[in-house]
Formats: sequence, C-alpha cells, structure tokens
Amino acid sequence: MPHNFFYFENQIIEFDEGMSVAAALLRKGINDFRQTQVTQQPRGPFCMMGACFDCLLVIDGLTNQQGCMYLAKQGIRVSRHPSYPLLEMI
Amino acid sequence: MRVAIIGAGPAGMAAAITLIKNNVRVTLFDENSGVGGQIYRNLKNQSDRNVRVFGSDYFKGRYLLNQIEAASKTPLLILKYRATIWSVTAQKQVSWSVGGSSFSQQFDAIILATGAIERAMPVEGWTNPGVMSAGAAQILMKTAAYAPANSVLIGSGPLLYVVACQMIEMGKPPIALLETQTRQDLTAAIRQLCFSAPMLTYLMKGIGMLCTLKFAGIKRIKAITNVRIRSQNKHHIIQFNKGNTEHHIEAETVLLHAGVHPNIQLTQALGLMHHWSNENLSLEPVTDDFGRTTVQDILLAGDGMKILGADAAKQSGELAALALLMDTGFAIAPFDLSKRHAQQKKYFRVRKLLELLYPPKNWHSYPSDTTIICRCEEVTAGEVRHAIKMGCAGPNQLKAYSRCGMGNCQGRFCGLTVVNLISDMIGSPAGEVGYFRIRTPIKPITLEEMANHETISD
Ligand SMILES: Cc1cc2nc3c(=O)[nH]c(=O)nc-3n(C[C@H](O)[C@H](O)[C@H](O)COP(=O)(O)OP(=O)(O)OC[C@H]3O[C@@H](n4cnc5c(N)ncnc54)[C@H](O)[C@@H]3O)c2cc1C
Ligand code: FES
Repeated sequence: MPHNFFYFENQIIEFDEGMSVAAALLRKGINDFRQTQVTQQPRGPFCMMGACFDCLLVIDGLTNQQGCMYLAKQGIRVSRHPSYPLLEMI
Repeated sequence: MRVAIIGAGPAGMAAAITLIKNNVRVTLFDENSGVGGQIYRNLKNQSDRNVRVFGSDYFKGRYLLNQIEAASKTPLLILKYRATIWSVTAQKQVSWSVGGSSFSQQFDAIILATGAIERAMPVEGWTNPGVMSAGAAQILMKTAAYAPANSVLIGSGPLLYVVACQMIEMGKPPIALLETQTRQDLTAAIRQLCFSAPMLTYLMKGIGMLCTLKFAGIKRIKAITNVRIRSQNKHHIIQFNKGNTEHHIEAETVLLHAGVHPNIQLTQALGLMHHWSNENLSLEPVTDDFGRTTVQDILLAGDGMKILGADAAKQSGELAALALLMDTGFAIAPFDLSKRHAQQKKYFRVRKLLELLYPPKNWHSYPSDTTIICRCEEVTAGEVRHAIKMGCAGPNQLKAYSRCGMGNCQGRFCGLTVVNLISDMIGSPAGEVGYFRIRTPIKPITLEEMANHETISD
C-alpha cells in the first residue's frame, strides 16, 4: 500500500502532501470529473483555482465539493456524482 | 481597530504588514491553504531547487512571506486559511466558510485584495476535459510539481509565455504556442515604449522568455484565428486558421489564455460602483488612487482593483493600508505616499504596453453561434443572440431568457462575453450594458451551513 493515498471509486490514487484532490487525479490521468446536467457532456477541472466549478466531486459523502480546492487527505473516499437524468427539452 | 483583509496575495500581504507595523490588528483571509496568492502560490513549501523552474520573480515573494510568518506569531495578526469569504456587507460584516462550517465577524474596516481571474476564451470545445486554462497548468506545477505532457498553449499575454517556460524547465515542453497576437498589435505597442525601471525589467523578462522558447525549439504560430477543439479520449485535434488557410495540430492537453481581469464577485455583491475599462476590456471597480471605494473604510488593492501585476499589487496594498491609517487618524509620513504614487504611475505605463501587445481578439470575444459561452448552464452564443433578438434587454433579463449566468460559477466565466454580445447586438458601448446582479453568497453553500453559522466576536 502506498503511504499517501485516497480512494477514487475503485482505484487507489497516490498524492503528495499539499496537493489538491483534483491535482492528484489529473496526475493519474483522470480528467473527466462530472457530467453536465443538460446534455450529459463530460467535464473536468478548467481553472484549478475555485472559480469554474467543473471539478465538483463527492468527497467523504459530501456532494458538490470543489476537487481543486480540497486538499487530498489519507484515506478519503472520492467519487463522481451519480449521473443526472437527461432533462427533456420542452 | 480590527481590519479584515481578504486575499493573501502580494496586495493583501503588503497591506497586512503595513497595518501591523502601525499596531493595527488584522485578520487575513484566504481560501487557499497558505499565503502567496496567484504569483507566490505554495512558495513556502518549494525547495530552492525549483528556483530554476519558477524563476526569481517567484522566490522574491519570500520577503513578504517571512514578514507575515513573523507577524503571525504576534497577537496582531490572525491568519485564516481555507476560508472562503461568501459575503461582505457595507456594514463591514464578513462571512466565511471553512471545512463545511460558516462564521461571521464584524470588522471596523475591510481591504479587498481578491486578485484577478483569467479572461474566458470561449472557443468550440473549450469545455472538453483536458482543455484547461494556462493558469490551471501553472497551479498544477506550483502545488503538485506536475506538468501535463504534450500540450498546446493557445491565446496571448505574458502568462502564456511564463507558463510555457515553466513547463520547459519542468521537462514537459509544450508542443507549440498558437498565438493570437498580430503584427499590428506589435506596431501599436511600440509607441508606448519608454525607459523606466519597471519597463526595462519587463522587457528583459519578455525577451528572456522568448529566447527560452526559441532555444527549446518550441513552435510559435502567430496571428491565428477561429480555434476549434475536437476531443476524444485525451486526444485533442485543434483546428485553426492562419490567414485564409486552415491548419490543425494535435495535443494531449490544451491550455487557453486570453489575459486576466479583476475578480469582481465581492465588489459587485457589495454594490460598489464599477466602470468598463476600454483598455483591459473588462469591468473594474471604481476607486481613488489609494483604493478607497464609495463605501467608507472598505478599500481595494491589487489586481482585483486594476490589473498591474505583482509588484504593483504589493505597492497598492501598502497604499490602501496607508489610506486607511490616514482616514482613521494615524499620522503618515508624506514621503511614503509620493514615492509610491510615482512608482505606481510607471506600472500603469507598462500595463498600457501589455494591453496593446496582447489584446483579446474579436473572434473569441464574440464567439460563433455554436460555441458554449456559459459553461455551467451550457448556453451557446447563438442562444444569447437569439434572446437579444427576442427583446432581452440586458444581462439580468438574459438569465430568465436562457439561464445564462445562473449556474454555480455565477457568471465568472460568461459575464464579460455576455456584455460583449449584448453590446454588439444592440449597438451600445459595453460600459452601458450593465452586468449580472451578483448576490451573496458569492459561492454556493448549503442552507444548513448558512442557518447554523456562528458569529465570532473579538
Ligand atoms: C491563474 C493566474 C496565474 C498568475 N500567475 C502569475 C505569474 O506567474 N506571475 C505573475 O507575475 N503574475 C501572475 N498572475 C497575475 C497576478 O494577478 C499578479 O501577479 C498578483 O498575484 C496579483 O496579486 P494580488 O495580491 O492582487 O492577487 P492574488 O495574488 O491573485 O491574490 C488574491 C487572493 O485572494 C484569494 N481570494 C479571492 N477571492 C476570495 C474569497 N472569496 N475568499 C477567500 N479568498 C479569496 C485568492 O485565493 C488569492 O489567494 C497570475 C494570475 C492568475 C489569475
Ligand atoms: S477547476 Fe475550476 S473550480 Fe475547480
């Protein structure tokens, strides 16, 4: 088991001290973090400074956490949000 | 007197140091996990080895960091990290959220030093995963020692070169720079040249960076237009025009950058007066030369007031602190002021040069109909144009017509494009179009958090 790691769905992601959850995931090659509500397009971190909200994840059960502002911590459980139902355009 | 300073970049740090020297109590807030702001991000944890990567400009920040560190051991300075400010009122109440809990505190004065954000560069495909801002790549390098490989940088501005050079030093040189700058921009800028110390420093830095790019053999393609990005599984094909011909280039990561503009979320939510800067093509809060606003004892400093760069941000932090001290009856040496003002004028001149050298271009300021401009609600430029044709009168009505600007980011990345599109369609100057009404909380927080928030007294 690596020393510093957290869980992302069924994977183990290593991180270094001071890294955000989003940075650790990007380093591992994971860049699709969420799906858009309207057309279910994939999205991932864009600004890395807390402004765009395209990095939202579920972290330790809390929804809508900004992955780029959340410091990675040992053993936290991170996942994508369950997909949103496709909104029918009326 | 207790002063809240929001933002711990060079402006906020310098303001704090100046106030503390005069025995004023300061609470310095930042939503990051340490001081530094954009330029000196994570400087505290950087090894000397990285001087080569991030350059001497970055390590210069140690001077401010050390002073803040020393002050934090005294009762005069309280540092609040990971604290996202979600409300500031004209009565000087500050509310923030940290780790899922919210707090409020009453202050006697506030200095807002919330810095800049990158200008949106809406092009087809800019919402695809793997397409990021150039600043995002820099944050990855500074905080995670990670640079994406095989990237292409697109846009213009000093930060584009800064990031490219840092990537080279990290051993991940970009494949190419697609630059929007034209020959006409260069000619227009040359007239602004003068020989002040800040101007020479900037020129030397610029020339140094261009040499680094050349020695590293990085391809630079200039005067490009009409960028479109198609992405599949971490593989991006970037189509663009140069003159009348179409080209394409492939990349694993695409980094966009079209300059920076003041982050106006808090100043708008406060209802401060703003004006349209015809030079930076963005909204700026209205202040006097010291950063005083229309609300007494709420002052602004740094790039959140006007984009002038890190050295000027530090100066303007000092000026705002000095103004506050004067306004509240402290005695200030007049020499302190005139020297700083003269220096500030030189920074203005440099900025003017940069604005002419790297202007945002019409083809991305007024995007094609199929381009998404509101990332959150997935609204295209075509939908915005349609709403305006249907009679939508301004940015706020546009929310009702299209949901544009109503998502989580509260217009941070579509606000200026909306202003441009409306101004273009109705034929009014951008300054007369208005802006989204920004309301608190300026960052989404849960109702539960807001209901349970705790009031801190001194
Ligand atoms: C992404 C990016 C990268 C940049 N990189 C460079 C560079 O490499 N070199 C360079 O010379 N210039 C760079 N700049 C320009 C930069 O604006 C200035 O150099 C300088 O950092 C401005 O200093 P400042 O103190 O005004 O603001 P900043 O340094 O931006 O500091 C503002 C601080 O306010 C905090 N903040 C904002 N809103 C809130 C809130 N609601 N609650 C709590 N905290 C908040 C932010 O977290 C930030 O730390 C960059 C700008 C950006 C946007
Ligand atoms: S990447 Fe933009 S908010 Fe996290």
